[in-house]
Amino acid sequence: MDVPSVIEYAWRLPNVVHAQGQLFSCSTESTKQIMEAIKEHGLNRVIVAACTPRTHEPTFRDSLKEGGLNQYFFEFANIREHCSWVHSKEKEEATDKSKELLRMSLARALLLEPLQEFELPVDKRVLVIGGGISGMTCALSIASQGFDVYLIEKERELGGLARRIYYTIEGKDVQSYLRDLVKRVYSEPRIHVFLGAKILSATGYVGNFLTKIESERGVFEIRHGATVIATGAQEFKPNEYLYGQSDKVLTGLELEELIAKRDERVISAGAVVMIQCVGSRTEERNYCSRVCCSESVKNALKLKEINPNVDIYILFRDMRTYGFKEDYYREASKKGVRFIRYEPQKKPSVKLVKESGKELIRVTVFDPILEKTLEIDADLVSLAVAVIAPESNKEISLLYNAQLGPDDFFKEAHVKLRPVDFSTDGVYLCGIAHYPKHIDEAISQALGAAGRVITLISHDTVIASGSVCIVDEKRCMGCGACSEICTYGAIEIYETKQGKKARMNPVLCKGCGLCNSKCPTGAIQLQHYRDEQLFAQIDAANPEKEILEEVKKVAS
Amino acid sequence: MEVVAPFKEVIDEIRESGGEAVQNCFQCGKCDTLCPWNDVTRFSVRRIVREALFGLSEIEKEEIWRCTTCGRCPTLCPRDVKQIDDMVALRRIATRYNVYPGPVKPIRTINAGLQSRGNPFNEERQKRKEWAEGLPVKDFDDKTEYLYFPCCYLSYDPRLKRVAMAVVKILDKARVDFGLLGEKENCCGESIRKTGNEDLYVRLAKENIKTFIENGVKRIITSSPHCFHTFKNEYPQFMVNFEVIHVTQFFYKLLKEGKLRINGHYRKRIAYHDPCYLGRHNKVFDEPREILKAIPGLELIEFEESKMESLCCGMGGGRVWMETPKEERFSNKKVEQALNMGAEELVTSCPYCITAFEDSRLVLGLGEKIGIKDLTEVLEEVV
Amino acid sequence: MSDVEGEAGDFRVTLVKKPRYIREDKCTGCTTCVEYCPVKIPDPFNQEISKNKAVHIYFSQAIPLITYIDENCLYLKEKKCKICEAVCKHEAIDFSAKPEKVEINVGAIILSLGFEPYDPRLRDEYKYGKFKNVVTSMDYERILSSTGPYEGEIRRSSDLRHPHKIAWVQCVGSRQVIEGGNSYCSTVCCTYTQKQVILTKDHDPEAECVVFHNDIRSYGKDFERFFQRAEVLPNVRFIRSYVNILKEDPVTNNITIRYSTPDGGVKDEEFEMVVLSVGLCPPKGASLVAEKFGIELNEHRFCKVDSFVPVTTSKKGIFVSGAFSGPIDIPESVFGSSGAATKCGELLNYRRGKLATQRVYPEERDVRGEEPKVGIFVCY
Repeated sequence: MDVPSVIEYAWRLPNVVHAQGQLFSCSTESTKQIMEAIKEHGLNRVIVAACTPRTHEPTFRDSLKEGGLNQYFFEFANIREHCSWVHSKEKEEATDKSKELLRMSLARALLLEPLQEFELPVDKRVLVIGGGISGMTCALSIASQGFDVYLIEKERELGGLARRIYYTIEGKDVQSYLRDLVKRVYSEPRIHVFLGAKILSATGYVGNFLTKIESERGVFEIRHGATVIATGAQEFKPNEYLYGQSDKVLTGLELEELIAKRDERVISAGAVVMIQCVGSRTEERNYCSRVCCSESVKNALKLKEINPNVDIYILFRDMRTYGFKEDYYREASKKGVRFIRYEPQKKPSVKLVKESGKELIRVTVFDPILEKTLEIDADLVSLAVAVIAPESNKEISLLYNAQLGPDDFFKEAHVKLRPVDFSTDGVYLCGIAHYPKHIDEAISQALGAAGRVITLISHDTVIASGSVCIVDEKRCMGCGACSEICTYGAIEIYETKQGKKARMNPVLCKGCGLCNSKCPTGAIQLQHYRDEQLFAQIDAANPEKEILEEVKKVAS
Repeated sequence: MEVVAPFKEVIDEIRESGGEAVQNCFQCGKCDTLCPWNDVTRFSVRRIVREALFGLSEIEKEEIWRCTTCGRCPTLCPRDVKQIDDMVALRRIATRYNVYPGPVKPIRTINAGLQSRGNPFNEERQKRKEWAEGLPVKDFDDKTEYLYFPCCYLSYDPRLKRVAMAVVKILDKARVDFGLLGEKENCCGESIRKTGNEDLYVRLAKENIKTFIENGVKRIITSSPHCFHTFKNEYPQFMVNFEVIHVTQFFYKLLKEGKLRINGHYRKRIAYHDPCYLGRHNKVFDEPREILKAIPGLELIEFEESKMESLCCGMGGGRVWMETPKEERFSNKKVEQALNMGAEELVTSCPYCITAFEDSRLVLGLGEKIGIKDLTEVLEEVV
Repeated sequence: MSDVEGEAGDFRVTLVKKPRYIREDKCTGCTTCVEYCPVKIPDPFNQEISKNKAVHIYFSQAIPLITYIDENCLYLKEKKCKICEAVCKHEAIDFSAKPEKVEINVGAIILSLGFEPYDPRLRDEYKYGKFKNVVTSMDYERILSSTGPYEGEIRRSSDLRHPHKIAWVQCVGSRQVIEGGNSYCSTVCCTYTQKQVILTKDHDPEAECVVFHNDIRSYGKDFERFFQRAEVLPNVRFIRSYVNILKEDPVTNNITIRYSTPDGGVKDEEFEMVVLSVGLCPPKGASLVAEKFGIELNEHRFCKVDSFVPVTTSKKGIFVSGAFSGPIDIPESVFGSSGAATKCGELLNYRRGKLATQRVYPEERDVRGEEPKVGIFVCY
């Protein structure tokens, strides 16, 4: 869009005493400029026309504070997502729309009020949900920095999915690592482990959560300042490729167990077929489970190690042995593992056959290079099944207001900027609850989550927004609709001489505005988003109306 | 759709024949995009490799005989599939079963010639040195410094004899102490090895080695990059290490040391063709070019595809003995390229390339338009 | 970094700060000097595609946003010129600046050396530097950028025209055991290529985009959907074949690419531009850094880390984050960095907060009764 003309337009709006363009408003230099302009021109309202408040509003509010201005005098006009990006093909119209958005922002800005924020105490204890490698790693790091951790695990044993993993592709022994990790957890006095745990309820907010759990040790109420979700994931159980119908068809983890136990079926196997992307990259689960290519290669290499004569066929769509794992893919090829590509519309098929008295699985698959269908008789078929989010994610999502993504894995606040945070403050994420990943990646992320937790709980207080709801008692008729709908338990109905009235606990209010819109009498207002502020903004969309009559005059 | 099962016995046989590297392939298709065959027809190295991986190779078909072992694909194969070894492995099997499809049938005769007389033409041994008659060259004895090994083509082929003669004249001018083994020498065996006849290669090589040792040979000058390659890189498998030098390297050395002087002009635009076995296989790119650049009046021009990318003449890998339809000859393309670049002469330093180019010149009716020369012949005119 | 001594909890690091020949305390970033500087150099930030002056601001988001003088400056090379000194109104030019030694005392060290993009000049087959319209993905990234060499317009260097048919060649320098290449997969190229395809189509909906690859590695969260987003765009093709960058048309400078399909055989196709999706290499100087810090590198010359102890180097008190530990994408770099930070926290917990200072904001101005005075800042 034509930014200079937007700036020129800005100058013509009422009450504007300063307008300028900036190459990157969010850069340190630009924010300094804003701070200086506040002082120089005695500004008492600041509008930045740029991108989304979601990532950058705190930056600019800080500039206002540095300029000695209440931060709630800041207003954001999102001319990027709402304009330049969506109208990239219509330069002129986009420029006009930017001017309109700016005019609307101005209308609201004029009516903004200073608000004060709250300092909330931070409970220094941490709840880690999930006692797998990620949860334990996170807990250990936090505990070693002097904070108490409640580590809760739904099973009667720590370890999670890793209990079924015996070695890594690099050849490391997972079980002995896991034993050591569990030992370290139990010998850390600051970690309080609850096994067989179930969360009964959870309330609270950043710095002050209250979670009620039932575990082997009874029912407990845990107060904690931060929550880490490390609930892991599970193996998909397919209903294709004869899984569940023949004991010769296994999942990757089941095969790994046989290998680890040097089961006779593995040692004597003449041919093993592995089928990739079982349940992944499908319409139903439109994602790649990330680990399966490497896991199959890992199992193939291990099989070759203990049984060099075994023929192994890996049926894949794209080999995704990313990073250094590519070296193992190549090594597997070099050891004679045969890789056969299949397209999703020509999936392999399996059937049970009897060949000279021996029961075999006959796998047929079309090889695109040979342009022929290959027929392989296998003693074992291993399915590289999807890693799926557990059903219980939905429950936990509701308890802690932690969002889920389209595949029911937990959704981080921002893919790049806040990959272990949730948009709900004080709740963090790590491990395969986030997305399938290898052990080293899970550990790295668990440490990352610990780092974020420490950032919070090493402070004594946390700042809560000033943009909370307030009740005008005169207009309140005590119907209770507001307290019913509030998910934070912030509204209390109490008796007064004038009858029942609603009372707001500003510390608990998150400023979501649900009560505000539910209130039949308009007694509740969400500060910073008061009706008159929003109506002015909406009215300003139409240049014929209200205060923009003046704007029009100036503009002409 | 045809349904096939992996053929275990064939897989094993291919592996035992030296084609183990087929299993490295991840089917990227790079080899197909590099293979010169795809300039003239449809041919898939990847498919042959893939068939071999499952033991589904069709050894009775011509496809396994196409590879000219030019070395384009193995040098850029991301998975080190060693396509030349794989192709040779398949040909070994075909040779073992004595299966030669139509265009490959001449190999039988070649085998016979090599077996009985040590040359592919089935010419008499005694005639091997005929070309040198009247030339200042002696028989090699244990006091001679260098053995000049001219190769079968330079010894018997009328066109190529001229190259051998030129070599001798240059060496004599530079007062190099060299000699010939004549009828005592055999074909080096490089190309027959590529056709899968390992036994014959071993026999030829062993006989040559025996002759070399008996006659006290330490240093060998070769004209053919194929002899050069096999002496240098393959004979060491028999635990011998001769000092092997290609004529272009040797001439360059002589020029540099001042033992050979250029005193004439060669006023021509020349395109230099890198023979696969000199260039790509042995990285001898600079010496021939340095020689040509040192010749006054000579204008050296480069093919768009040169050095590591040089287009093969089509004669390597035993193809020199097989039948290639006119429209499928790489050398035709190369000669045309040279002509289009405005070259007056196409110069190279390999007897197979010369054979192919001379043939193309004839077939394309370009008799007067372009000359085909060995670098030695050019040099001989100016020293 | 010239020297490091000491041990975990107490490292003494000597840094040498190269002179920028600009006084940071005086320069306002007005760029008058840039305007007057007579020396044009290939712009290092824009992949040397466009030109910049010998004195310039490194890039538009540089911190601090002031100029520096490149070593190609006439005065630095031949003691001539000094025009910048004459035109600078802030006396910010300082040719007498010398490298400055800075010593710092730290308890822990995090190595975030990043990576070096693969240099396709290492292999002739990529024709980079030979065919005019073959660019690397890093070049293309700058070409797509609004602050890039063509101000956000996709142009090709041979004739500055907009290319409408572009090919991407995947795995350049990656997944290969050829000399001059890396055996590992660089992990990010598949997805950044898809991003570049989507952006190209945003710039030019008619553009024809072809991606040559052997496997699409959409292994990350939401990557599969992202791939599909790129794949379904009209005139976008993903072709499973490595390629031979065959020839350049001497007149049009278009490039012919040869690829192989199992059903259709080998095909030649002409493109107006070719983007090499270059992989990630260890940072330059990794070996030197490893030697100075006493840490081990792995066989690919990235920092060696144990899979059960990521973000930790082989030396106590020294941690690693980002692509120095191997090719990884941004989200993983970010959480790995946070992980490295927490490892420092574990190590130095006994003196947490000892060096912290309180941030003090100026007192809030009471604006009651003031007429609204609005300042508007518009981001380009």
